[in-house]
Amino acid sequence: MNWLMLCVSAILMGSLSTLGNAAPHCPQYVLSTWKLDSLKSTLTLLTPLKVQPGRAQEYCRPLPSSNQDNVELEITSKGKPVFSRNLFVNDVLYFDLPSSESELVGGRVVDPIRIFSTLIPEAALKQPVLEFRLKNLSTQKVLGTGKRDANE
Amino acid sequence: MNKLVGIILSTVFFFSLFLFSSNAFAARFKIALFAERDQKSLELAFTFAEIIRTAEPFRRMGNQLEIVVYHDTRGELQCFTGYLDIPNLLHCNSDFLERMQDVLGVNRMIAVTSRFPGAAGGSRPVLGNNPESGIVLHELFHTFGLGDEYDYTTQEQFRAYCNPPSTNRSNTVLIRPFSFYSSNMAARSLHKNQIPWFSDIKPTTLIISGSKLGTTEGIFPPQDAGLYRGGECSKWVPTWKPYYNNTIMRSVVQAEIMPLHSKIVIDVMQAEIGELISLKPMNSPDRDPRISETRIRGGLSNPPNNARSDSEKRVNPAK
Repeated sequence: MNWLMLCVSAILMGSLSTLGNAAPHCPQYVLSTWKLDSLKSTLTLLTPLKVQPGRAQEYCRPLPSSNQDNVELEITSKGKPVFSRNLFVNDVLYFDLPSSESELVGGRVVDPIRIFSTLIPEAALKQPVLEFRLKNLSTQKVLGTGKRDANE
Repeated sequence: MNKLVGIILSTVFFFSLFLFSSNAFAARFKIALFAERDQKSLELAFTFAEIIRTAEPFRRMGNQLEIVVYHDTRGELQCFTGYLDIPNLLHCNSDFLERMQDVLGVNRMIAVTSRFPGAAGGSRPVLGNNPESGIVLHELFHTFGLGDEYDYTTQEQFRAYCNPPSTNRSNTVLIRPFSFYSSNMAARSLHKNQIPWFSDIKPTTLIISGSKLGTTEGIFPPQDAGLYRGGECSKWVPTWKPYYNNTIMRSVVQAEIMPLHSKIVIDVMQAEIGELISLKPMNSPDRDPRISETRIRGGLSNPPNNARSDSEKRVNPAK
């Protein structure tokens, strides 16, 4: 009986320690929504600075690549790097109309306004001042910049 | 004895918690369809939601995908046609959609209107009143970076979209071929860095026909990626695509979602929300027990503009 109790306790402790250990090593991320106005070269974080309960999720591994990343998002606070990540942001607006023969007729234009979402570390949002920059990865041209100040 | 039962019960509880936790913290990709206030738009949105739910690769995601239909009961979407002075280009109140995308914390926000035909895809897709079900997926796939695999045909289209041609997409690419290729290996070596889907082309698939660049149509299985002429500005500039058959990016009737399209969509979803813990196999009923079926929630009216937390707690389900 004692052996059985010992085994069960060991399993219990093992599972508890797995759960307990997971949290400190895995950064918490929140989904953020961004707007790039390429005509005004402005980058706006639409998500509020305050993290909402239940919104943060932990990810233990590096965030995957889209395999078609075309921009780099950089977040700094008073000039100090907070977070950066390569992303895919759709820069084209397509339009389609099925014709009478059910063939597609359409085209595409460069989208002046681009909305995209990405995970960012929850810790970044705790900074009172944040600066953002979105850079085209192939040309290194800055597409848009922005700033958020919690005190404003 | 009671102590032993207690320990066993708590062990079971913690194991269940552990199993559940890996699911509870699993990434979830959220798609919201926002229907204009009329009933027809709402019905269309539900139809579109079901098409998405049952299509590759979404059908394999189970509860890692969330599809919610919202009803714009306050009439804020205000969709119109002719955006950017382009006939049939649908557009809706972007301020409202941006606000809602943030309020609801969704990855894709699709506007639905029954008042106009046509559709738009990009970072802000809009679906009009089209009987062809494939157009839903065609536009949604545009949001993941997939380009058109059909050819633009008119001079107007050439002037508007192909002069100069746009940068490459994940499934279409502009490659100016050489006049002569000595071998398939030589062609692969010369162009491997230009073809975005090169790693998906099997070693046995030829990307030349004789001494010319391009896979011959009909020789290799249609599901196998190759290098086929066509797509977007192909009529005027040498554009290439991975498939020769009727794919969802080429047609919206009897069109197939090809393995490469599916892979691209999954890659972009994972980049946005983190790794998906499990996907059901493409051709097998086996599935991860942690993944239940995707559910469509819907008929929800506009969330308050200033709502910032979980939409489910804030919106009123329709009767």
